Amino acid sequence: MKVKITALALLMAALLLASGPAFADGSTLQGDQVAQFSDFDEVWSDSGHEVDQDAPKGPLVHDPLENWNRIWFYYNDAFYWGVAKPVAEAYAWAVPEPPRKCVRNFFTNLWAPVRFVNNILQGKFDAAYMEFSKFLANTSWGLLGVFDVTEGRPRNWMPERPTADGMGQTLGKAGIGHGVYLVWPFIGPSSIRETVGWVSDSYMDPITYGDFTFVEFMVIRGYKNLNQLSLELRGNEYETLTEGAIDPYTALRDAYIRYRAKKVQE
Amino acid sequence: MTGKHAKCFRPGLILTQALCFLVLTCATVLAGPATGPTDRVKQGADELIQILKGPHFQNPAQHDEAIAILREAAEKYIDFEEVTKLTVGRKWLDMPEAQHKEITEAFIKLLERTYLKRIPTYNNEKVNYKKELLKGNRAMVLTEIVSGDKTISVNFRLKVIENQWMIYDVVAEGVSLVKNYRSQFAQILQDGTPDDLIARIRDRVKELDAKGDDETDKL
Repeated sequence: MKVKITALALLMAALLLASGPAFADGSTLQGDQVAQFSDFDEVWSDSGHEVDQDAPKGPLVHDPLENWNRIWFYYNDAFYWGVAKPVAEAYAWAVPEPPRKCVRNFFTNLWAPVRFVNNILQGKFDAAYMEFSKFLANTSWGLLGVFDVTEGRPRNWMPERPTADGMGQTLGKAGIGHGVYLVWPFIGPSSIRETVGWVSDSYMDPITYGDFTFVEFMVIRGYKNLNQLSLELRGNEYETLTEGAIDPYTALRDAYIRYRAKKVQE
Repeated sequence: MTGKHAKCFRPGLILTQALCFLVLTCATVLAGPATGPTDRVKQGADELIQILKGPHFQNPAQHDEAIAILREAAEKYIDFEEVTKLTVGRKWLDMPEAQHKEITEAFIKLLERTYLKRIPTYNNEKVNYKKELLKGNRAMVLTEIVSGDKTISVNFRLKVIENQWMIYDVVAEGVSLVKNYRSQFAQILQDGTPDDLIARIRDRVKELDAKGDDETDKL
């Protein structure tokens, strides 16, 4: 069952990847095209690198499926406010913060293989080594990762760059573009590249190999996300971004693509 | 001897010296603002933190007053008209002065209700100033805000306006405030007029106010 689902997801991703260029044709975003007169010319990029003024200014991301994506965006938004947030608030009210942090630590530790493999693929060997030693320490002394025994400890050295966050980032570093912007139900903003990355990451997630039915698997994933949300109820980026937006769909798409671009750059 | 000495008091020389002095003074004034970009960002951050620690923020009943104080302080460091101009883009040039004022005011209200209200949730954070980039009248200050085990990269874009460095864009984790709103404004301006855009912003502010009142009722 599980294998079938992942195979199906992979097939869909491959299909989308192949059809990406066909969808992408002719759709442009207005975003960066105002930079015509000197006041709008940027000296440095958002991350502080010199901007090449002659470089062609293309669209931020192709979004030929915008109408379809919008449906799922509004669906997810309603789900967030109507279900996810109230449930997370109730959960946060019932369960104190320390045990919820333990749950988060457990899942973070379980995700270590994903970070380790992607660090290796991105050539961040120092970060890979750090992930490996953290995984050993937290799995043993931290009782299967429930406690993060390495947090806040002084270290002899730190990896030069932040640790990898997944295959989507690795593919981006390899020079692969997003292809087409996609919004998945419940998962949220994504793209062809990030979807392929997400599916690959799932193969490295130990939970995938547990003896679970599909429903159990979804419940575990859902609980992981709910627990995460319960720790991010204050000063939540999603809320700030969409509440302050006059077109929340466009705001989230722009923020998502720029945030991923920054991740790929570091 | 006397001749040589007298030469020093030639009116021409005094005039030249005076001119030199004047030019030099002017040059230092023209050379730019007294406070550098990083120090301006620092001053602004410190001032906002001081206000957040103040008595108005301990009492929810004084919330509106607190927001007014925050806005006044923010306006010393952030040029909101420049923010709005860059967000609107090219169409700004076709808009009359009155409309510039209207849209800037509407946009400030939106930012105020979204961002200023949320600042108090970010408490006890430490700001690391990493780098300052400078070119002519433009600058960028790269910082890192550390709160607990989380580090957020925040970069500020500044510009000299009326001989002072003013912030006109904030880039949080790679997401530029100006560009994020520009992508939204562009779509509305493409299909409609600037008045439509102003109306959209005002509607959003009204919605946020209504929502805010509900939340206060709940508390």
